[in-house]
Amino acid sequence: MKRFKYLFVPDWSRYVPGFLFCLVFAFLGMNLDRLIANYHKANVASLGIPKLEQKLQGIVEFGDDNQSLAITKQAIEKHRSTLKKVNGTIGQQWGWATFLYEKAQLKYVAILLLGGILIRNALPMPKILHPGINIARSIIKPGIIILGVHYFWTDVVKVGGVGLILTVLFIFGTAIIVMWLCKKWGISDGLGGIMGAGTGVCGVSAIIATSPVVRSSPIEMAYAIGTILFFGTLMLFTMPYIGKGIDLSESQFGAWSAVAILNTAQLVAAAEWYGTEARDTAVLINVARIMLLPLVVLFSLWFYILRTKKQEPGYEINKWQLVKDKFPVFILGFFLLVFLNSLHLSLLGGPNITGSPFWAMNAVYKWFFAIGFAGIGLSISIEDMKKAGGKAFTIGMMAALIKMILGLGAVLLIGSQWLRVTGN
Amino acid sequence: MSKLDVSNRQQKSELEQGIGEVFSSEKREDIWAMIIAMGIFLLSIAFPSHIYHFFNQVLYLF
Repeated sequence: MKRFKYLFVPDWSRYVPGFLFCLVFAFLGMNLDRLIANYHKANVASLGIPKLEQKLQGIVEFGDDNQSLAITKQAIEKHRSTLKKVNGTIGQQWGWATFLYEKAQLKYVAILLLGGILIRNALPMPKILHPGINIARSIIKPGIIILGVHYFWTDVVKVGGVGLILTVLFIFGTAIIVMWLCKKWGISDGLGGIMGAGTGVCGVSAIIATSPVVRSSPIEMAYAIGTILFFGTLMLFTMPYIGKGIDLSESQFGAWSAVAILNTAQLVAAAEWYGTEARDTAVLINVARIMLLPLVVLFSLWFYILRTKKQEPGYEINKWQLVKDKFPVFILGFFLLVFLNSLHLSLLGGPNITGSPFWAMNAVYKWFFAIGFAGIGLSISIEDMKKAGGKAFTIGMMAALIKMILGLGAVLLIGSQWLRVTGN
Repeated sequence: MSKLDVSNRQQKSELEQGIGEVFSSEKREDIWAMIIAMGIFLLSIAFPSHIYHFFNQVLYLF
């Protein structure tokens, strides 16, 4: 009964208004995305039908094979039904929709993130909405679990294996370098420890996880969290454009974002924005990364307390309990679905098998992501990011830049093949 | 004990309490995420077409 009670958040009613606001915002964002996509597809269809009809005429005249005839007729039919969705006619154009969808990449991720930032910073946001908006981000977690139906063990072993090596190198590499530099520059253990963990592993969670171990002060935490939020937001909006600019493949971008962006929600948003293949790779590598969070906390404990023998008498640290407390248990759900998908059970089917349970689940995860992205957008406050400052800012900037550049080099070196989730 | 010490101690204990709350909330979030995903899984086994239709058609106005 006590465990059951633990599941309910004390004072839960204060989260309701903000959470409902995120639900409505996600609903509007997803519908706007669908509207733009429909008009973009109609624009393509409107331009495509005359060409296909011309092709069809040629096939009939030259008496080509029946298969081409059937395929062309089917394509025309598909285009016609797309046009019908917007009550359009052949020759009508919706260039604005193609511009927004293809050139500006204004998909649901961008609509929710940019729209959320705009609402949060341009309009007076009632304080009553803040708690609910902050917890909406965590709705990405059930989405990640459900996304498990996209993977087989072969993907986990191949991409997850490469990802694990990459993340181990980057997490511990960054954490060690940052902690060592902080020691060298005379920065307090409290700030050095949380910045090492924060820039190495998943940002704010790592800062909170490490802070009691390295005994940070509230002001050090505020600086570190402000810096991590600032660089996370900066990377979330710049990396997809850099990736497109240098023609990075989707799987390479997914790996790059998983290595360089610190926060789970932000990296899923950046990768989803880039493409579905990018998202699949990013989520898998991120799962490998967050599994390492307890080890980073243990490393901080060793680096600052055990190694230097600073442990106070009577202040016993239970290392196993520490690992257990910090382990992100939700990834067990993700692995369970990967396992079930790998069994190829006809009862469960697959994401592409129409009418199967996994096919149904595949339609759901996007909504969880949308609510989470609404939460991220609405919680990005420019005022909060202004708190980034002091030495934490310099350390954060260095770590972010190094990870971005070295991460890009690493994914270019590895190539797309090893990073692609094939789902077979 | 100086006023500064008292204030520091108070700040520290507030911070520790805050961290405790955040941590238990992270664990709680993880467990809720598993429960929600499990619920979707069971509903998808029982009514796959209804679930697909709801999330892919009903929730969209356009």
